[in-house]
Amino acid sequence: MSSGLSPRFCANAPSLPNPDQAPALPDQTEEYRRGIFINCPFDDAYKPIRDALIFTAFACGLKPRCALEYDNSVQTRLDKIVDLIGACRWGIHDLSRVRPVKRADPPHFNMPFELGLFFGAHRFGDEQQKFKSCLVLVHDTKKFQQACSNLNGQDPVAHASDPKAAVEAVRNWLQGELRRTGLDKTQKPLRTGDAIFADYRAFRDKLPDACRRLGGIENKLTFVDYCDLVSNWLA
Amino acid sequence: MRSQRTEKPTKQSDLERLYMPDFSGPIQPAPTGCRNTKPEDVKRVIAEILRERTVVAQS
Repeated sequence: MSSGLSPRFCANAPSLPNPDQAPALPDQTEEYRRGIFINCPFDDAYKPIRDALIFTAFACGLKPRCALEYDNSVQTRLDKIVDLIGACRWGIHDLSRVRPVKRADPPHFNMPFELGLFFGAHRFGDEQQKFKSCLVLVHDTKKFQQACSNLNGQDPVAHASDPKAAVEAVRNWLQGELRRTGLDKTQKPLRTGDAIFADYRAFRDKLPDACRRLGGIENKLTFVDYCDLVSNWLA
Repeated sequence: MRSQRTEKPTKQSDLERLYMPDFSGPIQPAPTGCRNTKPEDVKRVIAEILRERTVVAQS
């Protein structure tokens, strides 16, 4: 198939008015359409939010991608991040912790920088990149608007470090995208935020047991290990 | 002229819908990369836990 679209996707896709006149589709793989770039802190204190975001992305049918998923010393860290952003149609950018860990330290600017790369890909990228969509999460919207007035009008969503609020923010954003494109009428609706969070809590309750059965790896659980556990739980 | 103005957004929205995934489709597999587990072990362990959970719920 010249467009590179899977037969399953084509069967569900709306027909274009005139395929001969429609813009040529770039190489759009299912991998890209489902890819969601997770741009968030990696420290342990943030883990409850990060784990909830990853769970929700899977629960909504997407595939989380993150700089933690592989190491390649040949590639620079920035190249890896650029590749991941280019490979994902979706993005979650959590700027809630753009602040110094200790008072004397400088704030961490990685997350806003990666958000800028995502915006740049959307603004200046090829046809495929122009259909990007992202959710910006913050701790407190008023304080954030004072700190980054360039993003006023982007409607960041506050989660106040509450995993349930983060789950609802992601789920509601994706449901809004379905509604905006009219696909809410043809696709099965997403589960509610409450239902996804209840499932997440059940999963968290069983996670220590799963890690024990896997050889006591709770402290060695990588991003990919965690994703594998979540995707098997939800399958 | 008027028809051209209305035609373009229609094509754009049709194209945008083509770029959307089927959210209600199957759960995606984990990405490949750094891991401390074997995929077959994870699958087995989660299946065991879900089976035990179902048994407890039914009893």
